[in-house]
Amino acid sequence: MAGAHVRIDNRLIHGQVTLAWTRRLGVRRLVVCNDDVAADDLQRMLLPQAARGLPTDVLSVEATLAAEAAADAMIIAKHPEDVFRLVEGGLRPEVVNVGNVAPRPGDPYTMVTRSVAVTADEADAYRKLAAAGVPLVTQLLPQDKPAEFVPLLDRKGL
Amino acid sequence: MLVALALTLWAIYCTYDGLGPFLIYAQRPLIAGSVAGLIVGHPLLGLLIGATLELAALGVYTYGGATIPDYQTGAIVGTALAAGAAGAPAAQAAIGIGVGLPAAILLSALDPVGKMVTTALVHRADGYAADGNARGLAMIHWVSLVPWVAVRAVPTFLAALAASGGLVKDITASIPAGFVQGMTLAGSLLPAVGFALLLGMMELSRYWYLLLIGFVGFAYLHLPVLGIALIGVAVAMLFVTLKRDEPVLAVPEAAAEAESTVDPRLTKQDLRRVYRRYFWSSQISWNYERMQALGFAYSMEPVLRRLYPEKADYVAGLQRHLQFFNTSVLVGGPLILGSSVALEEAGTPKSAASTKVALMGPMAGIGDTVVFALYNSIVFTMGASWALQGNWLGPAFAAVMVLVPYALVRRWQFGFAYREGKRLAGHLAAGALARVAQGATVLGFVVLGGFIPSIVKVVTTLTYRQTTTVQGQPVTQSVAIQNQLDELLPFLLPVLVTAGVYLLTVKARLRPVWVIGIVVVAGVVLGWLGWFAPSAPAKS
Repeated sequence: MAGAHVRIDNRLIHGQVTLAWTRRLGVRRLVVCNDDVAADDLQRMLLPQAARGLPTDVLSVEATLAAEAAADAMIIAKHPEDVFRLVEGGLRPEVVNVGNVAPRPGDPYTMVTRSVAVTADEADAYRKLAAAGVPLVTQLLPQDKPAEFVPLLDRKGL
Repeated sequence: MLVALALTLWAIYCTYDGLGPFLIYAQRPLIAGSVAGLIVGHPLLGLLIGATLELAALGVYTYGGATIPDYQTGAIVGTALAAGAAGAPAAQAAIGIGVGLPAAILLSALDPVGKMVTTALVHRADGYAADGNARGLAMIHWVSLVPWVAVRAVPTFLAALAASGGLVKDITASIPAGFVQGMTLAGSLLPAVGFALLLGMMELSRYWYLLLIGFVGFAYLHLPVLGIALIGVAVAMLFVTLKRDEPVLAVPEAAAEAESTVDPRLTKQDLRRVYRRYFWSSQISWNYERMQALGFAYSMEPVLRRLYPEKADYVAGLQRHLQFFNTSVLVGGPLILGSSVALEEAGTPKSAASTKVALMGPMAGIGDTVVFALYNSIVFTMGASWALQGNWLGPAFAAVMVLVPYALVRRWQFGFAYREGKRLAGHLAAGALARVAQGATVLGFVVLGGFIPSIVKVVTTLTYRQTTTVQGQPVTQSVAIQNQLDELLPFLLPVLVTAGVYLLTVKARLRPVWVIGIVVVAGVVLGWLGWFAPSAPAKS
């Protein structure tokens, strides 16, 4: 499927998404994409309730790829690797917005922006994504200026 | 000097209130400005300036760490400078708004500075957690309040000090009356910005018709805002009970059948301590990297100490709850805290961590919507509308409507989630949360429909000359355009202004700061020219 706007956000559907992004983008549907979330009953039931009336699907990466095309959908991926897998699987998003990526315990990370942590492996994958022609930006809220993501990686030496 | 110190202390409390207990939402300009007015000995100025900034900032809250204009400092500083200005109260208030608004916008640049310092501090907290040093952890948590407070208290102190000199009086004495007139008009137009921002967050295309109920209630039936709010409650109840369009999802069997077979190891005292810690300090160590994590770990610490006598387990527990966490602290946070306590007590720490992660996003979505966009906006708009009339009931009403309901709702969430433990998932699945959000949305639309004409105040003072023939004699009379507009549709101009601002923010996608700038400039120019005014001049 093709999605208008792909956002990486650990907290999935929260205030920034429901109060700012969905109205601004005019999307009609939300797709939450992550294998673990899709397998978790609690989150599968709660996320649509948080979406304020927007039809919401909670899908694994595979199911997201198999779903029919919807240009008016916003895809919210939990982690960067969900997006990497989506693009490997053939998804061609108009833009990938790296919104909120909190550090996860384990690998050493660098804070690239105030809300985005990146490990060395992830930095490589982001670069591959950009090299494949996927527009990669970071923009917390619609009123913020979108910033190109790869130059930010360069600046942090990743 | 004494006044400057008192204002600084008040600024410190306001900042703390908005990070910890949310007793009276003192960081909102209505409350911050009103009390600042009392401190400087000009209560009316505080009410007028606080209320105007409040209405310009409706629905503007910091969600998920986004930086917003510092309206708290703007209201306090604006009030302090207005008190030192020359002229009548209306002119002083216009000057206060003229200073407070740009101050709020400029000072937002300092907000990230405070949050970056706390980011560095949270790494120190990691070190203390690894040592199992609860005192160190608590120390870092409370010390994190200092940078948050400093970036607001220091500018407040400096501005208040400057305001106490005679310089302000000299400067303001030379401000032309036309400018004051224009600024007064700009102040009465600013609420349109708040309403437009709020509408931009709500499902206008789905519920626009509900605005008509409130509009008719005010414009034709002349109901007071409280009356319109009561109609709104009734309509919201109708929607929630009659229009259940959310499919009721099947409750997972595991969640429904899970019985609480845990022997309680926590004392009432432990639970009280956890809740008290969260209540008084949930967000004081908020930082970009982990957000509310340290506050959550600090709150959980008494429970972890009781449950894990082995040091290694205790340390693992602290580290578990120091992982990234962020949610809505009034609706959502206490529920998650109660569930974490229950699941830790049940001996399922893994599930405590995963439930926390599962709940924080959706609860932030629901909680931020209900708290920021709906409940607070309604309560503070009503409070501000009374404050604009110089009525003290305004800020007092808002403070009480924050203090009591939020205290009860938070206590209930914590107790409910703790008692229900593993069964909590089943309750949440039944769709109650979505219905609460829908009901609140419906209420919000009805009330907004009445607020727009009652609070955005603008009339035109333009007239044209018309020559008619009366009894064979040509008579020239001046006709007020406003009277003709009123015959067409009452409150046409406020509606048009709000619609225009809505188009600028939502359709033309201008940043709110620019929209505020446009409204202020337009207000000053049109008011100075004398073409428009907040209300019709008294008939002579």
